[in-house]
Amino acid sequence: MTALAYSYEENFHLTPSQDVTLFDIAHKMKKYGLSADFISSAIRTALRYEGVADLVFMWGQESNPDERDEIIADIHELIDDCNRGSLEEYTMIRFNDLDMIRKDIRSFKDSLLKLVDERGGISLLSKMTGIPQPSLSRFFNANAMPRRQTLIKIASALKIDAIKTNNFWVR
Amino acid sequence: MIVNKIVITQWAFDSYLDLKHEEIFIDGYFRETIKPDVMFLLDYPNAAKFDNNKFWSPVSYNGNIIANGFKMKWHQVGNGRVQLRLPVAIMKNIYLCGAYVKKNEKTEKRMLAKFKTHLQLIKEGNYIKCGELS
Repeated sequence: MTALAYSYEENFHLTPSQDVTLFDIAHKMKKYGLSADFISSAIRTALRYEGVADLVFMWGQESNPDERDEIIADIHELIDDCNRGSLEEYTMIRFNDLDMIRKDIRSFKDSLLKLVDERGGISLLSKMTGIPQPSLSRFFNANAMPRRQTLIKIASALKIDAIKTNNFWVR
Repeated sequence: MIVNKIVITQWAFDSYLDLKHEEIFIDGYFRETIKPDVMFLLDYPNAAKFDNNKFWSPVSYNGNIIANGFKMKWHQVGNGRVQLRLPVAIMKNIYLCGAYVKKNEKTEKRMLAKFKTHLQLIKEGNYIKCGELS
């Protein structure tokens, strides 16, 4: 398989043979237990964005389960990015506030994870939300700003009314 | 004289939060090394730093140069003595597109695939701007 051997172009498109490889990988992903929603979004995005196509091909060639999970989490992040649709500008964040923001996000994610654990854990949450488990694990472990869409899905799945989505660091 | 504008994207900001959380670097290293190095971008391409390929290089993926894509490199960072990379997009403005620890070739390849997507999204005007350095 030589799916990765193409260069970055302004008007990206895959060759017909790469398209077919992509659809083969979609079947593999289904067998791996990923949700149809995720697979469909991944393939649609890969057809438009070369970097996402690269990741899907990488996933198809990867045999290490941990590495595969990292790729899934990367693809999931990019699907969200690619579907945003326009430039957004935040209030400028001051350097001196960064540590406070980091601690605030950590504390928020830790308390949410505690709730998730009480209600069946990440694996169950993945089934309820359709968000791949590796993406949820990264969401809780990493210190990146939480995405509003992810929080809404989690809140809806867990039937939480009071989840905070209005913090300025929720994007 | 051309004055560059450095845009801090959400991807860069999230990377900072993650790397800080993982204690990849301490505040002192960030203030004294990383931030001043990043500020050299205001004088891109004139600053001598950009002639040093141990610090600055175009990004290539599977042997192909990625248009508009560059990376800053720091070596033996922190107690973990890691290799830190910061992908930079140079277009109308200069965009900081994230940072990562280069653990192995697989990590590097994943990160560059993400960077390629970020480049495409910036070209489309589809990104989150968290701040500016000028």
